[in-house]
Amino acid sequence: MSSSAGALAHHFANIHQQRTAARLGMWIFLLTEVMFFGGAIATYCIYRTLHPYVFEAAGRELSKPLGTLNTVVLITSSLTMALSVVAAHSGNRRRLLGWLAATMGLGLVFLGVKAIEWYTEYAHHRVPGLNFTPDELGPTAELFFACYFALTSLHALHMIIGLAVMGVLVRLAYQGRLGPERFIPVEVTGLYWHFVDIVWIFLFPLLYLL
Amino acid sequence: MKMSAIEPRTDYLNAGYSVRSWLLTQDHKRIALLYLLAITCMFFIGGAAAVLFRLDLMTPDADLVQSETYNKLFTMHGVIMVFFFLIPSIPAVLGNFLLPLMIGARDLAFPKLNLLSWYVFIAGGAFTIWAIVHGGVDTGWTFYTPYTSTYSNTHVMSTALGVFIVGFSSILTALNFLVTIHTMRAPGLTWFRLPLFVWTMYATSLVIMLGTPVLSIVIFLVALERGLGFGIFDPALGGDPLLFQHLFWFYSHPAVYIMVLPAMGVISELVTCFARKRVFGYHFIVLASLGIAVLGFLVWGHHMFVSGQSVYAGMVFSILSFLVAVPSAIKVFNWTATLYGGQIGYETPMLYALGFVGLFTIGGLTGLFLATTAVDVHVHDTYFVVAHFHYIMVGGAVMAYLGGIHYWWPKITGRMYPEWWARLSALMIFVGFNLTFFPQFILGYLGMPRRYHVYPEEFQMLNVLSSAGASILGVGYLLPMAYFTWSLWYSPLAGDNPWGATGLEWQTTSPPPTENFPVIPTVVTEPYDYETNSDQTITVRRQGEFAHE
Amino acid sequence: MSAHAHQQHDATGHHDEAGSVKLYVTIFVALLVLTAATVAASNVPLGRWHIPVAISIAVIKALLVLLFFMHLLGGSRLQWLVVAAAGCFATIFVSLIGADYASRDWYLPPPAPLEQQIWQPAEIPPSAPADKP
Repeated sequence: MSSSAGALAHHFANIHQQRTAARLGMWIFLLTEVMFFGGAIATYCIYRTLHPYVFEAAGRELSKPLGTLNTVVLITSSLTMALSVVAAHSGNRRRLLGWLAATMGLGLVFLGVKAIEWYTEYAHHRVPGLNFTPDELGPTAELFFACYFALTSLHALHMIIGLAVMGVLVRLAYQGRLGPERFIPVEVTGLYWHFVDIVWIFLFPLLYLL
Repeated sequence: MKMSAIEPRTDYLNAGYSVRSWLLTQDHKRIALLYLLAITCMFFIGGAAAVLFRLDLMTPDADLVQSETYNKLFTMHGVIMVFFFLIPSIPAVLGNFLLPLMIGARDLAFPKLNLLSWYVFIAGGAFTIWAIVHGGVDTGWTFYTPYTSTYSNTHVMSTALGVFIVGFSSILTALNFLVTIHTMRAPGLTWFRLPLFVWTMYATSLVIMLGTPVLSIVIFLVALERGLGFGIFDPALGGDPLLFQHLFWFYSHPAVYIMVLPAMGVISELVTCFARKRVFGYHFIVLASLGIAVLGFLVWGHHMFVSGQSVYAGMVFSILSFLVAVPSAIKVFNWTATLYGGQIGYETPMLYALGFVGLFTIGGLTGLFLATTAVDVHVHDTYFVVAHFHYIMVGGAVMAYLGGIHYWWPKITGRMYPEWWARLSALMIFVGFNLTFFPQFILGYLGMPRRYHVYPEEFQMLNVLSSAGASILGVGYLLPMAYFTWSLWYSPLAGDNPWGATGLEWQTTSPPPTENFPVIPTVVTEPYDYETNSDQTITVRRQGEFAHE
Repeated sequence: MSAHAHQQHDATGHHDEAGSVKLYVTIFVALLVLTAATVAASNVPLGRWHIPVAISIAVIKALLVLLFFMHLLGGSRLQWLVVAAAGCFATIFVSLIGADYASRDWYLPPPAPLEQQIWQPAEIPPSAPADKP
């Protein structure tokens, strides 16, 4: 039902201009996201350099298996997202819906595992400002956990936003409003989702492994 | 390129009169006017705070307000003027209005996003105003930790939230501008045929995109510390308050260029139009704009010379800060060279432009004093710094903003402004500004610290001068409010191109139709072709106007 | 020039569907292998090489996602420009902040002579009254 003419907004000269604009818009938005996470990650890295031993020891309290599992889950969701873009391009509605649902499912699994980890840290009195109790690592461990919660919660927030956008995409796809003429929404959401994946690719070794 | 076949009088202003047609508009021109209203309100709120503490500083003692109130007043002045007036002023009002017109587009690339950015701005403003109404905030606009995160008992959270939110507004606007400039230029409008204003919008947007997210993250971290007790900048846990300053100034120093780059763009347009001459060194001005945008990110450490920052980092930041003077000076030389041999007219926009060049030069050169580490130790956190950045922000950005509003007022509203009153206000602003801030250079050099409520008696004379200047400045700002409003109903119609200016925005009707151009123009010439394509009507109009006066 | 690039870009999804699925799966497998590698490396006693190894693997993984999943490879020059800008400014940001922290203790003032290290109250001239005149 969506033709090239219907997908074209009034102020663009042609559909190519519109698609270029949408893609470029998302890339530039991701540029701001790089600086946003860059600020947080830089904060963490500087503190890690200032307090290497405490941060290393505190990092070992995180669950490496769960972190690895989440990395795998998120990489897989990136794959399914890329496959939904392919399905959108070729106009295969059922496959598009399927891959989008799979991506959302994997995103939810990631958040679920994250919630388990957070709960474990809560149970171990490791949440700053709420129940943090210093042990033999001293007060600086609290700094590590402050950074950890700030970074992972920001990342989780971005995932939730991505899931919400994908919910809209599923709705649009279900109504048949996405297709070979109108695949840009899927494509830019894909860019965003892959970026969120890249952030985690850096957070995982920084927080869990080093 | 002639726009002769236009059905008369269907323009963006009379395309609909309902409140809905304004509040839900996706027309960049209407959104620009929404911004104009919003930031004008903000300007007068911020200005009112300045009036109050300038009054209080007439005497050495705390006469008018208590010290706590005084702290809240200068904080409110800083927060509102920086985040809610200066940063959005030229981009969100003039940029929004003019960018699509100047590049021959029908709208910005993402009109809905544009409208959203205005609502985000209003939401951020609402939080900040709420904080002010409920008792204010006393941290200074810089929100330094640990005072902000731990000790201040005022409404830090809602103010910071307001600033956080308004950051998204400028990100959305900048995103829109970058995409629009890249993808929607009219046929034939190559990069080096773009008007200089568009180039500065490009450079500004770049700075906004790269800098604002860092402000967002640092406010987020401070909010975590203050609201949830996360202790990220808490020295007791091994955190470093100086890291806050690094992150803060990584945005807030480039923010100065967010304010002054658009101003430079406006001035480039004004100077070349009222000198009736091709702009001197177009390519150099373009490269200088981009150079300022990039170099602006390398210098933030000069705000931290007397903090615990490493002296070696201080040296690097000092050298890099000197480098920014190069592209800025290139621009000043180019404007001056444009004037040379020009057929200069002293219409109001040009008065503002000339004022800008002088005041910006003073502001820029005193910046070199501050970039020198040894001198900075003496004048750091004194009124010298206050005077310096007001010469850039008020003498530079606000003068250019007002000059631009006067210049494009005929295009925005279709009517002229009253020239005599406008020249009077331009003169008052120039005189009032210098009287307000020049004494502050001396005060600072003599050692009066900024943000102090009481001061030794020997500083009173200069403070009284400054306050007297502020009152002239205040009247100078109120006058345009009055005559612009008056002009909406009573001024003569302006015609499509009252200045005989080049540029696509002058080739459509005044006010422009909703779709900007009936037919998208094709560009075949360089932007400031005042010599080969000389329009003599401006000379005739000038003579007629003086006879009238 | 950029329109041409985008026509190519648009086409990537259209024509070679089976080919791109195959490519994505290959990249996915590579990402899994690299994840395993980085976890394995964290269990090996590498000493001070832990950080460089982990960061290098992360950069490679990020590049794979960027180049293939996000189609930077075959994307327009503009997309490369945006990525380059992100890399460039993030580097400026981190390295200048890092420069401060790295060089903070390079210069420590030499210890003052002993008599100056002992705090002494400043001499108050008897003529000046303590409060305002």
